[in-house]
Amino acid sequence: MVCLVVQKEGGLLWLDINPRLSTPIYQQVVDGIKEAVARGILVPGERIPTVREMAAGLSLNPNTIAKAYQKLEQEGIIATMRSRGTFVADRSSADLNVARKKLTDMVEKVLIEAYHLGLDREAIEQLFADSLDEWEKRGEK
Amino acid sequence: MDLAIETRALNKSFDSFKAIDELYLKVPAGSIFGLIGPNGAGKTTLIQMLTGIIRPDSGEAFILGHSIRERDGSIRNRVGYVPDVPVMYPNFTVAEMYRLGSKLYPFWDWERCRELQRGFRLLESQRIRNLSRGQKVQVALVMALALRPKLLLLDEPTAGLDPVVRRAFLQAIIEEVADQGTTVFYSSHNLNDLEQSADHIAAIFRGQMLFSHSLDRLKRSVHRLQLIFAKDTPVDKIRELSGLVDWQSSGRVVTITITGELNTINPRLAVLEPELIKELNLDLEGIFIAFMKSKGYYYGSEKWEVSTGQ
Repeated sequence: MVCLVVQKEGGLLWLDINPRLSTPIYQQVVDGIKEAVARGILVPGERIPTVREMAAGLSLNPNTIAKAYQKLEQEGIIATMRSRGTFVADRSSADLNVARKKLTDMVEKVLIEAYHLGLDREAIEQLFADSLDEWEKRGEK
Repeated sequence: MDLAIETRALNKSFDSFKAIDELYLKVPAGSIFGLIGPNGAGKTTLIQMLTGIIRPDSGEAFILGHSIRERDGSIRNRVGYVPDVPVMYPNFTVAEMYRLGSKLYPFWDWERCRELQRGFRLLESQRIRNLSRGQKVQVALVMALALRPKLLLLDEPTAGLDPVVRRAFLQAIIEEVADQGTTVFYSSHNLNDLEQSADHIAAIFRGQMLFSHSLDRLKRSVHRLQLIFAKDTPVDKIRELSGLVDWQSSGRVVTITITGELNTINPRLAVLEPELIKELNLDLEGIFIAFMKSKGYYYGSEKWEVSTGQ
């Protein structure tokens, strides 16, 4: 398990990366930063480490980190300003619509999986409710 | 795609033993490329052919766009090489080895040399013969980086290094790639190191290519799934699954390792009507061992069967 600590005023941000997971490392970086933004740990306008800083800090492959940043930039989560660094982006409503559409697609995938497992409507709703509870509980800690 | 290394139908035999057998390999420029394979698979032979130490029997190989058969060897000025057993003049001191390097390599960078030397905290006055294997590897790496390489060839570099030095070693390589865009080609049995630092992995076995993928693609294209059945497990149907690398069953539970995209595998498994399909975590070591097992390379007399429909 590799962790990254980002120095922040009044706190630290941990990014847990486990190279041995089936989930590719770039995806873990994408998910970690998205989660930090979703929880408000990273706020719009805030600088995040450069590809080199992150790669060296985590002893991870720079190409992998660059791929994660590329993906985050495509999704409008971060923005790179030449010579100034990489920042958490302000989110316009257009971005949000795109993000919402993506989320709908993801939910659809989950529903297909659930169908193959033979879960009924009630079971699926329960699954979502449980996950939401778990997510909120983790946020309180 | 720019290639730092390419081999085409490369062959090398020692007496009647085929060490490298019709090997095709492509290493993208700027990648950290990990080479894995069991002992005796041909890793060192391949690296030694790329360095020019030994010659192939047939086939072609290119490093940085130049054929390894080229008479003008000047491209090697930009290739750093750390052998599995570093060979250095035993009576030289560390400082004398560096001075030798500065005379041999036209792009030698003293500043880089001193920076790395400070980082590894090697004693410059020590004689090579008094160094451990791990310390010799560090001296070899300092030299390989100080010559300002465009390509680094490392043969089992992290074996015999303590955890602190191993980490420093990996970090030095990563910074080199981030700052200079150097291509790193390294063989290792330490799959955790590779999983963390490499972006491409090739596995060779008996001199042949087993697979060569980006690590992301490799992880997306090999899965370990656990299937739980209500009563009888349809063993025959499982054995016929295309892409099956390995499987084990115990009672109603079957664990399979299978190649392919998950969204095409799942519908094929759903037909078998398992009660539950669960994806298990599969790391590089797990992938490697499963592939090795499918080729008949495993320890002991563990009972297993496999379909070879890859």
